[in-house]
Amino acid sequence: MKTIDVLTPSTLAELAAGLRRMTPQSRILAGGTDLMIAMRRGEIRPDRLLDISGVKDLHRIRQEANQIIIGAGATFSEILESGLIFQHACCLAQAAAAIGSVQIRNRATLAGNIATASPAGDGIPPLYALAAEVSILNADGAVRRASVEKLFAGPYQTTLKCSEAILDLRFALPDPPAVSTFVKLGSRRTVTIARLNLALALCLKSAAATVTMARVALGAAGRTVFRSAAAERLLGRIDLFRPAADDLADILVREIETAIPGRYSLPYKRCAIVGLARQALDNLSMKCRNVEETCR
Amino acid sequence: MQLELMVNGVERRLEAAPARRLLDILREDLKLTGTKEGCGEGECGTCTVLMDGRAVCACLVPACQAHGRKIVTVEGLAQDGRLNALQTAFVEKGAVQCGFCTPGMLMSATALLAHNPRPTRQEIRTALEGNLCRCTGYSKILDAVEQAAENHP
Repeated sequence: MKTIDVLTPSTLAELAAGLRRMTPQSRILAGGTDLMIAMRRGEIRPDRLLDISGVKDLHRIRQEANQIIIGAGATFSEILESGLIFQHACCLAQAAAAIGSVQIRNRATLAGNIATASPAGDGIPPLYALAAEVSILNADGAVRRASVEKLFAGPYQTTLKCSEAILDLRFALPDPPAVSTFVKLGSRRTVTIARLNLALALCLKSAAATVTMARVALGAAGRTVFRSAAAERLLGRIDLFRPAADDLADILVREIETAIPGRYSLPYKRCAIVGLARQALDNLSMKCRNVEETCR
Repeated sequence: MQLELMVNGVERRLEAAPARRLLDILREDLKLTGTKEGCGEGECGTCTVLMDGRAVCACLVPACQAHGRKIVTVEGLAQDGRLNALQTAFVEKGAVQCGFCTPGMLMSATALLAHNPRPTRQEIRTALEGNLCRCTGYSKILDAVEQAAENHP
């Protein structure tokens, strides 16, 4: 293998300088859990790697005003260990726990999961459910923000330019009380790629399980992760103490039929989503009861 | 690049291509062949080593990210030529059959016990999820980690 030029910035200024030298063949290296495999398989032959893991500022998970900010260098293990994420973004903590193995979570980053843009990426539905934004650094050192939902152009394709790097992912703290959950079905229980994944986030009117806002994001069921407006309308008017799983499942079945008509996996996913919808609503009902008890 | 890293408590310096895998540096450059290569894709866990105390797959770590780090491999577990408590438990419980997964199992278990000296069986399972074994059916490995935890001072 010919030697690849590797840039190892330790500050944001050096990172921007590194971005000026990126070509369409260059790649950003974070945890390496996708990149190292793709390079070894010969699927990509980068001329240059820009290793962001040495930029200290990018590792932090922090709260600023009413926003939670997750640095691009933060690993899934760090997300899992973060009290802020546990408290404010349960769906993201659950997704982090469901990704790979300990070894993978110790290296893989949420930002890398976004940049890889797999339709089955477990980090993506929670970010849709949290209405997260991505901060993007360009080669001039300027930062722009975009909705995470606007980032995906297709399977394994983002709208990021080769001279741009993800700096952080951020979301506003929902008006309490809010609840969220992530559920996933793979071909085995753990260390598995999702055959379907689903994130739900609800804002509740305090002291009553009345939903004021709902977001539903479905993954591994189309070219990219997508939200279901019909499911959000349903959840916006249900009483979570009454079973609504069958209605939610019906809606999601139709979403999947529309997203992947004729796909070989459609008969399987049509059945599988029913169980996943039930599991997600069970999780949420339990949380809503807890919220109600806390408010009393 | 001039690579500097601490391996099993010893400072090592060597010339390495920055994208060279830590696995190849350990096995080929430093002749530490206890760390095995299985899938080479981060699935099987037999190349697991500790990097700054965390279990990682050495097949996925490029040299540039190992620079300045503390690495512990299976060769670093025995003390004064004697197997440590975890290794002894693996022998006593019959947790080693063909032995190919064993270095990775030991390193994942070492990482677990370092921050959770009294793990539940489920916590052991979770810690070892990324380590495949095709011989033992896993239960003897779980028994061995449990025994090592019980004997932990």
